[in-house]
Amino acid sequence: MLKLKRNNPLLIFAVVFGLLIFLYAFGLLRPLEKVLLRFIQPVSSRFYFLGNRFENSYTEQREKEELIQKISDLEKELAQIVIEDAHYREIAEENQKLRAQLKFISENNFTVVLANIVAKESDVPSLENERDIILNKGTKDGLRVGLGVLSEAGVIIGKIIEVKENSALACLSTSPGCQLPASLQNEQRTQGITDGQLGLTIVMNYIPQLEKVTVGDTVVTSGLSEDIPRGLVIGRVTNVKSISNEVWQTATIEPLLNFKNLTVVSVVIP
Amino acid sequence: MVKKISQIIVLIVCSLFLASFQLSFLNSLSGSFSQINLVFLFLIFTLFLTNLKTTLYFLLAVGFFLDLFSFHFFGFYLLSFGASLILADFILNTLLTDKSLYSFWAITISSTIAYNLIGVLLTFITSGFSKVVGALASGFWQNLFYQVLWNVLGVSLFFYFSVFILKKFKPFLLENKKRL
Repeated sequence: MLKLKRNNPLLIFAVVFGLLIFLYAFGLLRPLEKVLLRFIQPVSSRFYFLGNRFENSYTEQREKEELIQKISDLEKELAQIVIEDAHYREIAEENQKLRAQLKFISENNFTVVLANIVAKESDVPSLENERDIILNKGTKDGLRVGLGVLSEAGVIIGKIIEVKENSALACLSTSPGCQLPASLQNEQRTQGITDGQLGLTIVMNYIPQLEKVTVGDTVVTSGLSEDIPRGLVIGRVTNVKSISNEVWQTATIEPLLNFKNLTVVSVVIP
Repeated sequence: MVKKISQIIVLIVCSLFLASFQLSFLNSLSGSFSQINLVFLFLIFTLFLTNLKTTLYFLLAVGFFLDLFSFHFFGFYLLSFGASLILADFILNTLLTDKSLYSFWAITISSTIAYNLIGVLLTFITSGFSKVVGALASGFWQNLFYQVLWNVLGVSLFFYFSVFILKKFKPFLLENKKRL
């Protein structure tokens, strides 16, 4: 049996651990946290950028370089076309012209906060595909829980789920539990809720059986959440699952971007 | 005194960079690379080379920074790493007879599994008993397997490197020294 001597390492660890919990719970570590974050966030941002570059170069070496480049270019082109098409449809309903993504944001009076991704983290250790992203902006920059996070191209990639003073945690739309109110750009403007699946794709649930959903339909935010504006592109329908004796049908949505390549994002404050 | 203070400063700075490197660089990698847990490797290696006391001091520094930067509840890393290190120390002292490579592998494998399961358990408790079923279903065991493989590979490299370096200076590396 362990003897509880004064210099027992377990006892020292338990005491220091308890003390740290106490200090953190009462907010006494906040000034230290602020100073450390200010010091470490540029370093973390650099580490994240290096990790991202390493990851990209490794992938490119694994695959045939030309093919990847071509696919990547086509994906960008496709994403741009779908975004433009989505915006056109949204704005056409309001009898307005097609506008570029930045113009779209400015004309709708959105405030955009640019943020760097500084780290990734998952609820459970070892779940790489479901890692949330940590941003270097927090409550002091006006961020709050529920705000939408956009990629550089203007595609919505997730939403803020936790905020600290100098940092924020955002879930990706492909992570399970990261739900966004969405609508399809079809005739009926079908509404539903998207949820991530295995960190790879997105599923749109609660689509009534009578609604007609077609592969290729563009999915955008519906605007039902007051923190996320309507009309932001989520992805495109790649599969529809409809069983006649069930109340709802589900659609599988493919995101327009590879979320692993993101380093800079913007948070939309409506 | 000055030496001790400088040692503490070095420990704090190294821990700060190690925590940042783990959360920002290693966690941004995909596939099996993302399962590399350098913090855990260092802790296991410190335990193997020194003792539980030194390892826990190191853990207090690096775990504190991880908890501060992370969005898990405060204490998540200190608790999960701490519990798995105590288990590793228990196995090293009571079930194993020497400090061979096989002992190193045994404590690495058992403590890696323990760390991940404790992490799941803590998430399970803090999420209101809701998140674990999904977590365990979506590749958890496969990723755990990769993490064990990386850790075993890492400690093997560490082991041979330290034997190569320390043989001349510390021939008692393979001695079963009673600690605690």
